Amino acid sequence: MMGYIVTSQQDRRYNCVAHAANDYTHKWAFVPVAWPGYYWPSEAIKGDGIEVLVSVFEALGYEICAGDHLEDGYQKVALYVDQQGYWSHAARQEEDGSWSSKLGDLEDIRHRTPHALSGPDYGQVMYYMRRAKRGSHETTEEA
Amino acid sequence: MAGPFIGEWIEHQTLTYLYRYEFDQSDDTTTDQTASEEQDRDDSALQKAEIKRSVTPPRKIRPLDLRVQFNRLAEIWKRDTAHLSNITRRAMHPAYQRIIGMGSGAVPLILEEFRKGQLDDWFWALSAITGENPITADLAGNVEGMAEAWLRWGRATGYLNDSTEHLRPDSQTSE
Repeated sequence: MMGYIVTSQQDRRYNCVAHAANDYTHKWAFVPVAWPGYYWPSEAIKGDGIEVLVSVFEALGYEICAGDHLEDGYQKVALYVDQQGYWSHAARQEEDGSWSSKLGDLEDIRHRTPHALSGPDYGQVMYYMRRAKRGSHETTEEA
Repeated sequence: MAGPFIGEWIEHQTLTYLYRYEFDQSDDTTTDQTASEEQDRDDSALQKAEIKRSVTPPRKIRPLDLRVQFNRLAEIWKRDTAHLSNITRRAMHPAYQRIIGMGSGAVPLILEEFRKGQLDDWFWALSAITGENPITADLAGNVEGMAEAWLRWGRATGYLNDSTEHLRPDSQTSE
């Protein structure tokens, strides 16, 4: 991973999916062994495949789109899948077109492109999704 | 990385197996042996004694060993997976699976982590070991609330008791 700056302290209270959904108070994950446990939208598919992560953001009003370019009036997220087919990460596009990520239990970072995180740990970007811009903390209330 | 430690474990298991194999073989004797055979048996017994001295025998794991083992595994797991958000991937790590394999002995050690404010993703392990899940739907995703629910469960079930209360961070200033 290269070309990023750290923008927060470590925080175990939220993870990358929560961060991409503008929620800084919950950890989003589906865990079959301990359920209920982490937060997971009730409309979303339960599992660990990339389609599961797509369904999470569909539940938040996102739709699959073409690429990582900045589009006026839209928020975008990038969804990653690892080599085993697990969803591995979600990143969020910022106002200036750069991207931000929460790295598991570690820090928030800012990176120029979604591909800065591509590699053995996070795999590759599989989907970009977008939705029309709304209040920045609306998804927190949904959680 | 976990490699050297896992390697030690595999070596231990292998030597333990060899020890047990030799022990089992030693039972395969008869009573009508000749003196020569008895001499061979004595030599064999000596060789087995050497093996016993050179091989780590199976032993019962003491509580102190459990704590040391847990801390070592937890450190490996955190180091290798802290950057991951997918809990399934984190839980599939060999060190995490070995902690689950420690069984109920790991439960108070995990709860102590929570009590010290180390709110790592131990919820999978706790449910896998105990078959319980005290987390209610209103707490879903609230890591502090989830950990507190498990601490309440630990006190109610006796996994946490007075002898470990001193580990509580706020125990010196409250009550």
